[in-house]
Amino acid sequence: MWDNLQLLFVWAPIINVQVILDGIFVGAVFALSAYGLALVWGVMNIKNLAQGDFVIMGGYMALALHQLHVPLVLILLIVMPVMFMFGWIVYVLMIRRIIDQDMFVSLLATFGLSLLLQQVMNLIFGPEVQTIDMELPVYDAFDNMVTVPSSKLITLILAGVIATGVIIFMKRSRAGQAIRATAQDPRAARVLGIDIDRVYAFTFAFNAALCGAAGVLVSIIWVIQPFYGITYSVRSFAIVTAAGLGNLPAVIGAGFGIGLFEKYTGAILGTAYEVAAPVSILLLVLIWRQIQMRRNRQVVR
Amino acid sequence: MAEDEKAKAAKKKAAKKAAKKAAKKSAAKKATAKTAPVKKAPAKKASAKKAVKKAAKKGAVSGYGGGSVDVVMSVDQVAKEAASIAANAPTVAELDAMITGEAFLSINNLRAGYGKMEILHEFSLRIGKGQSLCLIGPNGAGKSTVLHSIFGFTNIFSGSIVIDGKDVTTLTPSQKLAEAGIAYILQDKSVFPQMTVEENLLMGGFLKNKPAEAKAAAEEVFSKYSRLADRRDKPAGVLSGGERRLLEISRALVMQPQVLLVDEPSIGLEPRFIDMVFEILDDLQRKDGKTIIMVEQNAKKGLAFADLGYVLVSGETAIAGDGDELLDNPDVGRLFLGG
Amino acid sequence: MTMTRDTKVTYGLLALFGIFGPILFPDYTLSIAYLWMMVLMASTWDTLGGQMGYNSLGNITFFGVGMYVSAIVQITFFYEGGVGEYTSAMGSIKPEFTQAEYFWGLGLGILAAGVVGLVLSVIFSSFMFGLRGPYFAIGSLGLAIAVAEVTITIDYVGGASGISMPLFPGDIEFRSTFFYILCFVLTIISHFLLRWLYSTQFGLAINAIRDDEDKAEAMGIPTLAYKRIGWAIPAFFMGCIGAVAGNMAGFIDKEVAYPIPTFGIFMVAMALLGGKGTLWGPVLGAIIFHVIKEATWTYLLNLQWVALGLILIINIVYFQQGIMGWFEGVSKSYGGVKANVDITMGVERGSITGIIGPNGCGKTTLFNSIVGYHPIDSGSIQFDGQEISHLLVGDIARLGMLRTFQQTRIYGKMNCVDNMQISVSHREDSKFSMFASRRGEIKDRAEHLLEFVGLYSKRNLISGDLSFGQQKLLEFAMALMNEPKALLLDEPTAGINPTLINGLIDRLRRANEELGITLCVIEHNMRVIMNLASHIYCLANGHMLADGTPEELQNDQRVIDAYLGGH
Repeated sequence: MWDNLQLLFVWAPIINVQVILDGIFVGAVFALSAYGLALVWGVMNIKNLAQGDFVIMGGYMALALHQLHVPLVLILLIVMPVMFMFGWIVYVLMIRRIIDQDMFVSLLATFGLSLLLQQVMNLIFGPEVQTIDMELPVYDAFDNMVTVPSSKLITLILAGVIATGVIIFMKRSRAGQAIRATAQDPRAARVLGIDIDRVYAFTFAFNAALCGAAGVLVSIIWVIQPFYGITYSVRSFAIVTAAGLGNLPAVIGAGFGIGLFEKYTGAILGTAYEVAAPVSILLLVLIWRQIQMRRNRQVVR
Repeated sequence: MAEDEKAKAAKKKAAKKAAKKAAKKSAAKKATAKTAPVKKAPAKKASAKKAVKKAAKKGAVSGYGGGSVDVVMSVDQVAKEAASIAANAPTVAELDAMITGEAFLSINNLRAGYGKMEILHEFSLRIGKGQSLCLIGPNGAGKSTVLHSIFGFTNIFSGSIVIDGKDVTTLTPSQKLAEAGIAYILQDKSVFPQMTVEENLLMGGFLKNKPAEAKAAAEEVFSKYSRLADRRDKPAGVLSGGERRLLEISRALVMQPQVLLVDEPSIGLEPRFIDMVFEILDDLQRKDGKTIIMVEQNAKKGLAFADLGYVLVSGETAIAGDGDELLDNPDVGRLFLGG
Repeated sequence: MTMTRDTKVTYGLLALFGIFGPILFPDYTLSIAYLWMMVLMASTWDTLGGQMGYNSLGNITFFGVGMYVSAIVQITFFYEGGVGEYTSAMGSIKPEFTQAEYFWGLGLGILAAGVVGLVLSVIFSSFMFGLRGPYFAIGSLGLAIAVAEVTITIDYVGGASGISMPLFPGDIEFRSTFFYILCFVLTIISHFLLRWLYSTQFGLAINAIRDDEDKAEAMGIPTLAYKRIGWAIPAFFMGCIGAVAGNMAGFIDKEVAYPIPTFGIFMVAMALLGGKGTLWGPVLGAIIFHVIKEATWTYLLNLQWVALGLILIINIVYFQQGIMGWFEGVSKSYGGVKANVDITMGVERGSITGIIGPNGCGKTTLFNSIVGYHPIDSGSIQFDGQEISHLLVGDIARLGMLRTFQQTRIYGKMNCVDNMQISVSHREDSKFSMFASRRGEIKDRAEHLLEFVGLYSKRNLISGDLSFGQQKLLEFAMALMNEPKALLLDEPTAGINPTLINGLIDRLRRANEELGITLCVIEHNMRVIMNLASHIYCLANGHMLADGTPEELQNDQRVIDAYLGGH
C-alpha cells in the first residue's frame, strides 16, 4: 500500500490522470443505473435490489449480439427496448403486487429476483468472466503513462447522450410529466386522469432499459460475470443515498465521485478489494448521512 | 400516594357525573326527535328570496363559525342517536322534491365500497343543474366514499349513477373527467410542490388532446385570478395555504367540468382563507353554473353555503333538506354541529 | 407465563418430536438438527425484524463471526502451537484433542461466540440505528458483505482458504447425536427467553417502536436502549449457533460462515412465511420451509438455486402476510420544514395557552423546536427552569413535556390497553424496569383513563380499527397516562365532528383543572380556542403578531387582517 501511495504521489503523479479518467468512465455508467433506481424509488417507492442484475443482463445481451457482429449503436437500440419489455413483464408479474406493501417486502422480493436472474444467467452463459473486445485503437499520452482506449471515450459519449435524452424526456414529454406528477402527489395525479398503474409500469420498464444501456457500456469497458450484479446494486444505493431522489445532476456527480473513490481504492490498496470497495462506500455514505441528519435532530429514513 | 388516590377518586366521580348528565340530556333530546321528525315540505321557494336569505346567513358563519362548546357527548351516544334518526330516512320521492328543475346528477340505490367492504348501502342522491349540495356527518359515515364513487374510485356492487341522462356508473376516472365532465378536488395539499404554478395548471389539462387547449384554459385561469398569475413561475410548494387551495380548485377547472366534487375545502385552512374559498366556490356555482357536491367537516360553513344538505350516518342518508333548514334543525345542531 | 391448552399440546408434540425424531429416524438426525437451527434463526431474526420493525438482512454476520471466534478459542486453548501455526499449515495439522479438551473448548467457544456476537451488535448499534426502513436493511446487508470480505483478508484465521475445525473425539453416531442435542437445547432456550421477553414491558416497547418510533420517542420511551437489546439477543444466539454449525461442518471458510444468499435470506423468508411479529410464526415458517427444501432439494439438480429464487419471490409476493395472518402497515413519516422563527413567549404553569396563526407561519416549527425535532439556530428554550434547546425528543419527554401529533399517531396494531400501558412515564426508569412484567396497577390506571375519555368499552379493540375521533381520544389518554407536566397539542380537533370536539374540549379542561397539566394548543378552529385558552399567542411570518386574552385577540385589527379575515 505504501509503495502504491508513493507511486501515485511521488514517483509518477501523472498516473493520477489515468486513475481519474478511469473513475470518470465507470462513474458515468454507475450514474445511469443509479438514476434508474432513484426514479423507481421516488415514483413508486420500490427499492430494487435486482438493479445490478438488470445491468449484467444488458451486458450479456450485448455480448450475444456482438458475437453476431451487430454494430455498437444498434446493440444499444436493441437492448434498451428488450429490457424495457422485460421490465414491464416483471412489473406486471411481481412489482404490481408489492407496490402498496411495506418497503421491506419490495427489498426482499427484488432480492429474490436478483438471485433468480443470477442463476439463470449462470446456467446460460456460465460463470466465466467475459468482456466485449471492440478492437478499436488505444490512444497513449505522457510517454505511455496514460492510456485511453477509444472504446471508453465512445461509452462516455454514449452515456452523455443517454443522460441528456433522459433529462429532455422527463422535462418535456407527456409521459415524463406524468411520471414527475405521480412522484410528487399520486392522489392528485389520479384525479387529473393519469393512469397511475401505467405510469408505474412505464417507470419500472424505463428503469430496466436504462440499466440495460448501462450494461452494454459495462460489457465494453469492463468485465461481466453472472454474480457481479450485487456490486452495481450496492453502488446504486450508495449514490442514491448520497444524492437524494429525483435530482439527476446530483446523481451524476455522486456517480463520478464513487467511480473515482473506487479507482483510487484499487490503485492504492490493490484489486483484492473489488467487492469491499463499493460496500464500504455504501456504509460510509450511510454513516455520513446519519451524522448530517443528527445535527438536525433527524434520522435517515 | 394518598394524594394520587384522591385524584383518582375525583376523576372517577367527575366522569360518572358527566356521563349521567349527558344521558339525561340525550334522553330529553331523543323525545323531541321523535315528536318532530324532519319532514321536508316541497321546496318551492322563490330563488331570489333564497339568495337574500343566503347572503344573510353567510355573514353569520365565518371561518369555522363561533358558538359555545357546552354540548358534550360521547362517540357512542352520537352514533346511537344518529342511528335512531336514520330510521326516518327520507325517501327518493322526497329527495326529488327538494331540487329545482330536473335532476342533473342522480345516484340510485348505490351500494359501493373498497375491496369487498361495502360502505354505502342503498344510497340515493339528487341534485339539479347549477345547484350545490353538502354532505355532512360523523367520521367514517361514508361522505368521501360518495365522492369517490361518483368519480369511479370505488367498487360499485349495485345501483347506478346518472349524469344529464347518461349512465356513467362504470366509467373510469379519466373517462369521467374527459367525457362526463366531472372533476374532483382533493382535500388538503394536493398540488405538485416542485412543479411551477403554470405546470400545475397544465397538468390539469393532461387529458386534453391538444396541449394548446390546456394552455388556453390555463391563461383563462390566470386572467381570472391575478394572485396565481403573479406567481406562475414559482414552484407550487411555496404558495400560501389559500393560494394553494385556489390553485387546486382552478386546476380542476382546466378540463371545463360541469360537476365539481369538492372534498373538505376548509380542512387545515386558516379562518380568513376559508371565507375566500367559499366565495370562489359560490362564484363558480352562481356565475359559471357549475354543479357542486362537497364534503365538509366544518359543517356550519358547508351548510350555510350549500343549497341542499344531506346528513350521512353509517353509509345511509339520515336527514336531507335545504341547507339553511338543516342549520336550524336542533337534532343536526346538537349531533353534528356542536350545539 | 400461563399457557392455553393448545399451547401445551403444541409444546408436547414438539418435545416428543424433538426427543423421538432422531431415535426413530437416525438417518435424518442432522437434518432435524438443522431444522432446529432454522427455527432459532427465524425466531431471533423476528425479535428485531418482526417485533421491532428493524428488518435486518445482516444477522448472518454474527453467525459467521461466531464460527470463527469459536474456532480460535477451541484451538488457542488446547493446541500449543497457536492459531497462526495451525492455519498456516493449511489443514495438514490435525491435533488429537481428548474428549475433555474438546468439550471444554467447544463449550467455551460457543459462549465466546455468543458474547462476541453481542459485543459486535452493540458496536453496530452505535452507527446503524440512526438508519430507518430500507436504509437499515441495505446497511445491514452491506455490513454482512463487508465483514465477510474483511474476514478473508485475515491470514491469521486462514484467509480465503478457510480453517479446519478440531476433529470430534468420538464415532459418527455420537457426533450427530451430540450436535443434535446442542441445537435442540439452544433453540429451546432461545424460544422460552423470547416468550418471556415478549410478555414483559420490553415486548410492548419494541412493538411500539415498530408501529411508530417517532411517537414512542415522543412518549419518552428510551428507544435506543431497547433497540440495542433487541439486536443483542439475536446476535448472541446467532453467535452461539454459528459456533455449533461451524463444528458440525468441520471446515469453515467465507461460504460456510457467511451464507448470505442462503441462510441469511432463509431466516427472513421463514419468518415472513410463518407470519412475522408473532412468537409462533417463525417456528411454523421454519418447519414448513425446511421440510419443503429438504424434500425437493435432491430432485432439482442444477436448478436448485433457480428454484430458490423462485420460492423466495413467490413466498414474498404472494404470501407476505404469512400463515399467522399478520398484516404489516406502512409506517408514516414526514419531512422537516424549515421556517425562520424569532419568537419570545412564555407559558404559565397550570394554564391553557393557545397558539394561532396563518398556515406556514411557523407554528408547527415552533412546536417541533420546543419538543426536540428541529434544531434551533439561536435563542433559548426553558422548561421548568431547565434549558432544553439542545436536548433530543426522548430526553424532553422524560422531563415531562409531551406532544401529540396533527396526524394522530398511535400504535395501530396494538389494542387500546396495550397502547396505554406502553405510555407510562419513563422518568424514573431503572435498568431493569425494561423487563418488568406488566403490573396490574398500571392496567387499572390505563382502564381508568380510558373511561375518563369514554373509550372503556373499546379497550380491547385494535386501536387502528377505531374511528378517527376515537383515535384522537386514545392519543390524548395515552398522553395523560404518561403523567406529563406539560402537554403540547397540535390541532387536536382537526377533522373531528363538531359535537365530538366539544367532548374533547371538556376533557382537556378537566385534565387541566383536575390533573394540573399545563396545556399548549395549536388550533385553527376559533370556536375551540376561544372557549379553551386563557391566553392566546398569534404568530405570523415567523414572529409574534399579537398576544392576549381571547377577547382581546378577537378584536385586534392586526389579527383580523392577517388571520381571522374581515367581518
